[in-house]
Amino acid sequence: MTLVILVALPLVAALLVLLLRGLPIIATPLTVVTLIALAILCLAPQQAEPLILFGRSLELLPLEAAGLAYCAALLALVILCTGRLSSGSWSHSLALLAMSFFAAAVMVRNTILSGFLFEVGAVSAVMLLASKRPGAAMTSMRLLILLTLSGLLLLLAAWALESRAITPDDPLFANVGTVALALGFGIALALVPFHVWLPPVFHYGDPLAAVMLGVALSIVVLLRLNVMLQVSMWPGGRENLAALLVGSGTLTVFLGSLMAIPQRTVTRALAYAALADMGMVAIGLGLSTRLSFDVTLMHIAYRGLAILVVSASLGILRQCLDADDIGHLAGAVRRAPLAVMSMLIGGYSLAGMPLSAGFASRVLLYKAFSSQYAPWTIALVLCSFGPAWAFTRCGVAALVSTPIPGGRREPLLPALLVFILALALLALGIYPNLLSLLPQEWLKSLSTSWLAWRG
Amino acid sequence: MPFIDRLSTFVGNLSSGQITLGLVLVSTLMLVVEERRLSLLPLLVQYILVALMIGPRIYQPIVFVWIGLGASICLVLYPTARHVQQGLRVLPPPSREESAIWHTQPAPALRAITLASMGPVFRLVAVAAGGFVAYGLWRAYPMPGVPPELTLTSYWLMAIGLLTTLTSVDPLRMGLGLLSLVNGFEIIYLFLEQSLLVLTLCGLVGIVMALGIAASAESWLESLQEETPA
Repeated sequence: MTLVILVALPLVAALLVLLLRGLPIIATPLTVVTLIALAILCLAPQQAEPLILFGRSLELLPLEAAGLAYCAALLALVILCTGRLSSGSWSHSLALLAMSFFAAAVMVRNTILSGFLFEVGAVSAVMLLASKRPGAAMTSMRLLILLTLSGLLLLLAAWALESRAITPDDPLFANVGTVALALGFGIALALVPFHVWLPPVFHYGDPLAAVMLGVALSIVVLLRLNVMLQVSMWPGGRENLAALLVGSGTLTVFLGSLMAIPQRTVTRALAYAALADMGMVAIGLGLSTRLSFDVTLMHIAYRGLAILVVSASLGILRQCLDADDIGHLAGAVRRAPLAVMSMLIGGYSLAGMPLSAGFASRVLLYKAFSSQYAPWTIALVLCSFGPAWAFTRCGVAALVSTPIPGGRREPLLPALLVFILALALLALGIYPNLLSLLPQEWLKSLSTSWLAWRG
Repeated sequence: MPFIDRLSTFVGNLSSGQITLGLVLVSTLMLVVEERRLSLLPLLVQYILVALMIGPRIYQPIVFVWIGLGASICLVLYPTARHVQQGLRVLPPPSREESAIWHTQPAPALRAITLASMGPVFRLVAVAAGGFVAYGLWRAYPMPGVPPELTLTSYWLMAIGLLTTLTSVDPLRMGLGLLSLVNGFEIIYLFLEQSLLVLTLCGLVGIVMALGIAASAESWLESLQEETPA
């Protein structure tokens, strides 16, 4: 029964928040409480029991539950930090609606129904981008088109894989399945050469849209890929999938890092740093060792937190300075010291600089990568400096002591909350063993859920 | 109601070939017609014809469900289409002097509209190109177990939908293309996956997409109005 509540709770709350959108003093806490409740319910032991509903099987493995809980917690945190910065009165309802459909898509074992539910969730999430800011509406429309295409390709892949199970000798289904899966997941995960949609999301979206489309969407897509691999094998074989992931991941890291170097705004630095970091996630999954899977899991979590910290500080900086380019950032540390420091810590974690959480997971990924692709490892390590350079440039501009007319200072409570999260990234980087405080049995159950990738 | 009786008899007697021809005509009209409110009519007719094509092959009541879905989508999009059409009419067109001097270029969105107004001849050429692509795909990749006329119609709608999306610069027209593309995909998919749950989810996807298109189009118009100097 808990599984049904996981879908129904955000759906009902979305309707309530929609009705109460004129009263943000009620609607915002209601959204946050619902998301926190969703996160807690996902981790409750009762949800482990599978359910048959209308003849369809619903199940939530520990990894899927943890993924959904993490997405819900991140969204709750971003609303807490930047609730007043959302671009539209509908955004909280849309976030809840998207979470409801994402939860359903992850739970349903039937890949075709799951594909449709994911599509509805993705379209709801895309609507978060639509605002009257110049360029935002077109970005939202283009993303709608791309995610719809991705959804259709994944539906085609699901049909092809089911048909292949019935007629394994027909090569048509295997070929269609491989191409459709690779294209569908490539677009949805924003891996090179399908990365074009990710940077504009950070550029035009508010922090909630950035976390939803830059973090939650990719986690749900990875969970769906995990489910699809449990139901049927990758048509071209595991080696084919691993090569695809490592190849496109490496290209994504190189391109994202190179593109980050010339950027002169925090938004663009974040966009390309997040893109490059997504490449590291793909590499980690493609390496296909037990260690690399576990580290990738940790890296996905750190990536989400870092994106949240930078997006939220960016929202605060935009509120104080009206823009986030180097020109406007001059002297920002006087008005928004906590936001500037959080932006730097989050950015360095995303880039994988030492003493940050991102570095802790990247070092292990580099180690696993070097055991299989030694000649490329140095290039991969050097790629960290592209996003780090972009964030350093923004940080230096903010630290310049320039008196600025006007008196808009950062809002203390949200800035403090973001800074605490940034400190958490720092603490996890300095002392990675903090993770051992989590229940070991639970961590072990997450780890075994990745076994589907290895067959 | 003799008119409705005659209409339902006429519609019921349409052959697959006639429905395919009708779909070709309405999707061409959707790409060629510039007026946004009017281009919703071909979309509605497209849903009706798709319903008539897939209904008898899957489950007769689907005809009514699909027509209802098309009507709902058009009802969601109509206020936006009217709003966008009226909003664009009152915006001042970029003057010749403005476009001649690089540093006083008109707003980016207005510039995009100017570039895209290629006229009906360009759009007809695009339709012909889409037709060739659809025919080529149909000959090269026939779907196993799917009637040929269904496959051709599906490929045609997907090709024209993609072309409409690619050759448009405003979210509403792009959205109409996207809905055509999805409609074309669903013709084959509903034939392959005959389940009421899949049908319901197809309808849900359509409605949510229409809402997404309307939200993007309204935001686009607002941003355009803010970009334009008073």
